Amino acid sequence: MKDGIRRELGKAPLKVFQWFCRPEYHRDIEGDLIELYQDRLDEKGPGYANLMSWIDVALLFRPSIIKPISLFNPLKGPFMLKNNLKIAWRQLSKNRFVTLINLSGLIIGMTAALFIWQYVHFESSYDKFHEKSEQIFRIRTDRINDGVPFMQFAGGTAGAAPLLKKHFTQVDDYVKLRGAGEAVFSYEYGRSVRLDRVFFSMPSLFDIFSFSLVEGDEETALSEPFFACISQSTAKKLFGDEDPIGKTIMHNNSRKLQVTGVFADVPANSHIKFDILISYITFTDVIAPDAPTETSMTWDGYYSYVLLQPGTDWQDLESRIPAAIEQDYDPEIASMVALYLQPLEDIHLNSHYLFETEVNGNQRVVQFLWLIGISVLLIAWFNYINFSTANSEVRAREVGVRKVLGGTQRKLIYQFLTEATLLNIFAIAVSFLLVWLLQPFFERLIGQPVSLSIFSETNLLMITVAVLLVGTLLSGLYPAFFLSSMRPIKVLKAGAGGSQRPQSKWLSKGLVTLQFIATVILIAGTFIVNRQLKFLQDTDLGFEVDQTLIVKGPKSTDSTFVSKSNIFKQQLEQLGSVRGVAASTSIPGQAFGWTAGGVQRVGAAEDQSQSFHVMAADVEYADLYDMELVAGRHMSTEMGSDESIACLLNETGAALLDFSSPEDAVGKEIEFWGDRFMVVGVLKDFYQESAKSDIEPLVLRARPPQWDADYYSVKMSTDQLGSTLASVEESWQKVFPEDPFEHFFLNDHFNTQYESELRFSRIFSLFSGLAIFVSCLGLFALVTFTTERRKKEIGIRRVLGAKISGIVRMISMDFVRMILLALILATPLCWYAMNLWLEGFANRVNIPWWYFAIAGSITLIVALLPVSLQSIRAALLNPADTLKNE
Amino acid sequence: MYFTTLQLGINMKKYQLGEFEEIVLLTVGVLYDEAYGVAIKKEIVDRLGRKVSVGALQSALRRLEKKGYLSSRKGETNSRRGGRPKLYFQITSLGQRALEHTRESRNQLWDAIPQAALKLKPAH
Repeated sequence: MKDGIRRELGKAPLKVFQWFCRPEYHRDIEGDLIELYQDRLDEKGPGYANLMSWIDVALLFRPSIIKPISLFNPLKGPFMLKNNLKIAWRQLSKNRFVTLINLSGLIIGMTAALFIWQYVHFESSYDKFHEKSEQIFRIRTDRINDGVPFMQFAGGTAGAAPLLKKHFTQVDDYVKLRGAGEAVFSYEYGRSVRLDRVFFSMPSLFDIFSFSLVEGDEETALSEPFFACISQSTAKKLFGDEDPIGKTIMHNNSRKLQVTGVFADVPANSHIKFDILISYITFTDVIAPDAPTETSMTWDGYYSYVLLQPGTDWQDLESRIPAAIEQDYDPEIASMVALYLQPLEDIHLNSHYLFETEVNGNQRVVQFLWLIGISVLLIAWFNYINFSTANSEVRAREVGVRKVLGGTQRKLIYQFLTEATLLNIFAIAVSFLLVWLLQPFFERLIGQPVSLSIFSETNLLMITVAVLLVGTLLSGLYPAFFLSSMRPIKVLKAGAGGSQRPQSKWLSKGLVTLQFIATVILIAGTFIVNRQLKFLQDTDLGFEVDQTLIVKGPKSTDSTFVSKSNIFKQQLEQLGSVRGVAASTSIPGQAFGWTAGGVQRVGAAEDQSQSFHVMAADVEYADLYDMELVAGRHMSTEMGSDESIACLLNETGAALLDFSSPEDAVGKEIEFWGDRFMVVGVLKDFYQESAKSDIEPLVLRARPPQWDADYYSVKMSTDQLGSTLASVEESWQKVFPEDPFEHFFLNDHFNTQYESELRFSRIFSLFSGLAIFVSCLGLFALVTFTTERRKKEIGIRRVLGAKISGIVRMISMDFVRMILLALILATPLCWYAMNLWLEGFANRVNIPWWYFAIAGSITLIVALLPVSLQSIRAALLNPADTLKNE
Repeated sequence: MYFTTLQLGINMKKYQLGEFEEIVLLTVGVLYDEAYGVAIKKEIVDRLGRKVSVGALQSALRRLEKKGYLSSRKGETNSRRGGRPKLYFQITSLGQRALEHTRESRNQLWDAIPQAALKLKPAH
């Protein structure tokens, strides 16, 4: 005991000891510990004494000393959970109004966030289920004209994958698939299905991807011609309970296929989905004999995937592809094609090329939704922070009394955090329930199935709950610190008013401004999305789609097809209600299907050839669809030669072939694929698929009668669609008895073409609405508090002669200022974000500045409504009532 | 069933007393009125030259108390104990019998050893 300073055993070892010791023992054993410490201190100094105390405590940790598990009670101890819970419950049920607003805000915010979270998770989970997904790359093709890519295909050329395998040792394996087109598959009489997800596939598919056979041998199932693997659900449809292996099915009533394997249905989050796989060798050796299907660089449409060795620098490999092409091919061919690699996992959200295997998702849309989800959730939490701090008047006295009676700040923080947690956990539970209940509705809204992955995937569930809890803690921390830091003397003496700190006002103003920013952005965003959608819908596509019945052409075609097709057309034309019939390879709303390189004017130099979309149609086609001509005439049955040599160009096409004007093109000859055609007219540019994409050069050539008719377009002249449809079907049954009658009305088809935009607009509107609603809730509560606090001030002002309008203005001005600030900040943000979205459209609207003015005004009105209501109410109170309680 | 056998096992040993427990019990007896944690610990160290941790000692004391061999009473405190009371232990009559029983069994065993056995012990 030097210098008279008495050293004492530190608190830490005793705390630890207390924590585990049986309560009835700890007093006297502690005494022993302290006494021993003193003895050792005198003997050998503090270091030794301290160390020995720790060792003693550690050695005391033995069964007979440790308290029974039942006494380790979280409800007691330093957090006083039981007490806090009780008080939290009392507070929440006492302030019903605040609790209700807080809860509904949190529940709406969390439910929205959970839905969006789930959707985003699903969209970004595409193709990740393949074990080697990170090593798999798709080869895609650009067709180049004069150094400029003019067509970008999702598939590779026939020779692309073999070329890569040959030149690069990093390529372990490859697989090529080729779409086999829509077809009818039948087994026995009456058991048939029409499927469009049909591919020719190499056997290596099973090695590269994680698709696998449930029945059959993966090695051999696709190794011979006319072998086919079918999905489980297709097997069910065709064979019922029979064992499909070894059975024979008919492909379009003309080709026999032997079923050699059954695979599990392709998961919804695969970018390529198939119901039937036919061995690739069927296609190469039998259907297209002698075709250069392993070397051609001019033949497009082979979905090609390569498996690279782990750790391969794919971008480096991609950059060396042009050299490989030049090595193996003529310079002319090499200059017309470019091959690129796409990481498999990026395809779904980032690939939008020609002939994708399905319509892919949109990274931007996913990001937008993600942001909206976060915004709604944040707004709800901001509300919580704002209420709790604004509500501090009510709690100030409580805090003061607690502190006077010995409550520490830490204990108060625990108490306020308990309140926040209780509220949030309840909200989380309700939101999960809501997600579960509303799932079908949400799926309808977004138009695709989304698995309830937050319930099935533990990881996702854990992360979700963790995020929600961290948010709870963060949103609870500020109010907890703020409320617990109030000085008892001040709040007890000065009453409520003394508690408000200037910085808390700033914080709450800042948060409200942030909420307004989000609101303005969401309102303006909703406007812009809808404007673009309306623009697309209102754009004149360039043809008439009303009263048009489309009948899909027969799939089983043979030598009798030409005469049958003519009979069918004639029978329909004889119907009084039919204005005309035309068969074609494509119809409005569908991709043109074919492309042709080497289109040129007769006599022009070889290097002036161009690439065009090509479509073949009966001569009546363009006239039937009321397509407008800018020069020349429509093709016609009256000109006998039209059927073999006539063609139409569109304006873009005429310009591409260097005709000085549309008139100039009429009567000139062009050639491609070794045939010559006479340009009889030039069509005004029209949007074949939708106004979303650009107009591309087109040759519309007369359809030789022996060619397959993919579609019959039947134009009706009356509105009696029902009865006409019946007659059409009757004719079909007579002429093509083996084929199912499949039809649709073209305008229905067109109504679905903006489906993804419609969906986006619906989701955007819904979640924006929710966000706005939640921030209004918050605003309403905030104004209620503000007026409540200023009741006396308003009373005095009234007594001194202030007008009601003056008082309303005084209270509203604060909010108006915040909204104006938010508008200024939100405008550039929103403008930037919406431009990102609009970039995805070839034809897009501009964003008018006054949209932001409208969005601001709406926000202002929506915000001022509760503000003025509350302030009028406060102003109307009799000053005698508000002032008498002193 | 399991419990029955276990209980039988315990009952069969009439006075169960471990070696360390015996020492603690005896020391409490030695200290008589002054037997509290630190004092017992010191006594054992001084007399037997044997290191004892607080944990080992306290758990033995509590076990003995539970078996009914020791009783305890709260005593005074002093400044060296930071205000915590001392807990004094005293041997109960059951404890005394247990000690006697142990001593007797030892003696019996001693007596049973043939003289020759002890003599044959190799000398170092």
